Amino acid sequence: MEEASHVIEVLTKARQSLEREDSKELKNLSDQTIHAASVYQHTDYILVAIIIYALSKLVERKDNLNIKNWQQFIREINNLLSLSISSIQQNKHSQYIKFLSKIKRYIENSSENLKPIIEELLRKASINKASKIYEHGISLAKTTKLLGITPWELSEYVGEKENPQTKLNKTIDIKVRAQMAMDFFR
Amino acid sequence: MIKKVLILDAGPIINLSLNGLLEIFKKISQKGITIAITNYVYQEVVDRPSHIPRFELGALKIKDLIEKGVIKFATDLGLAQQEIESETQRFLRIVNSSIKSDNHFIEIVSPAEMSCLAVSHLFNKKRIENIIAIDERTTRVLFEKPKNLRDLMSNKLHRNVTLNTKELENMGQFRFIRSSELVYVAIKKGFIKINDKHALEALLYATKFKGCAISWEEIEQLKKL
Repeated sequence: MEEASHVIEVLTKARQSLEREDSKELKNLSDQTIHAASVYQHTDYILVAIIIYALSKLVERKDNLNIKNWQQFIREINNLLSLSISSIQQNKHSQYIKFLSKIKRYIENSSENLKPIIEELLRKASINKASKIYEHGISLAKTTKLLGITPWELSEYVGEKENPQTKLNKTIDIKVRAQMAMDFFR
Repeated sequence: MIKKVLILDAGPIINLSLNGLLEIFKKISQKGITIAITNYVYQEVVDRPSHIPRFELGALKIKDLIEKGVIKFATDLGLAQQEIESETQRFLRIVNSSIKSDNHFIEIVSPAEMSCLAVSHLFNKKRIENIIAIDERTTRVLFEKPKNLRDLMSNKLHRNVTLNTKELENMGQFRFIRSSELVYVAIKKGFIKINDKHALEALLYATKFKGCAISWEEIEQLKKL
């Protein structure tokens, strides 16, 4: 239940941040769900992380994307976020998932002209969230399975990023490993 | 007669493919070293990317290496699919019950990575020398320095993470190399011929940028060897 109250808090803050069009805060909120997504690996945590990250990107690129009826778009998303929150508060899990999926679909269909761009944005949101879960210590293949992406996409993405915890990635000395490789291929 | 087996996880195959270095596998094979993959890895490197336009060519080139016998299925090397699967599932159960947070086991690995360990374990039992090439960090760190993985997860999750190494230790000994060591060997042994003093560093950077878990510091050290 501690995790449910955390999700409620995140979704409530996301609604407020969306009204303020605060893309930075939306990104932070998306990252906050990654802890729970890494430990429990439920699709709903992952979906929340992807949706909020995609919303942050939409807000950030609002002027370039030129989505028609932007205010109506925000109102509808916030309405669905409220319904998701009340569903989880009432312990109606399947309804909660239904509303989350509806938000994702609504984002996907927000503009017919922009559909390919929005789809790409959602795909990139999944890769970004996958890289965060991978940073949390979940293996690459396991992470890609959770997010529905391929190891090809994630390998390229994580390769571009500098991992701040490289000291903990180090296990045996590089000279020893290199020598082990040379000996094996002798 | 199999003498040595290089077991490939998906990472190094993807890495070398994205860098246009699949040729290295041909050279390794010509040296009499058998290169093996599992069905789980095949799904990651051929089946799934075959349906993604961006990666389709890479998948086809890997498929070609398999069809030409450069890369072989572990099942074609005297291992039964049933025993590979049974060991994969056993390893999966052990590893995914080794790390706990908030009284909850965290599932950290997938069947693809565990199938490589299963195959290595089965070759070890047959006393066939083998090594696993794996780029992703979790599996390697878990078997080489498990406390590092516990600390990494604990730092990232901001909560207490406990580690049970008892069963992990009983799984056996595994040796791991990464794409970075593969290109290091390739340049040192002349599998790749790039006549430039910066060739090694360029190859090491290339593997890092395609997902090999190697630090800048390690690259600097490798360059000097």
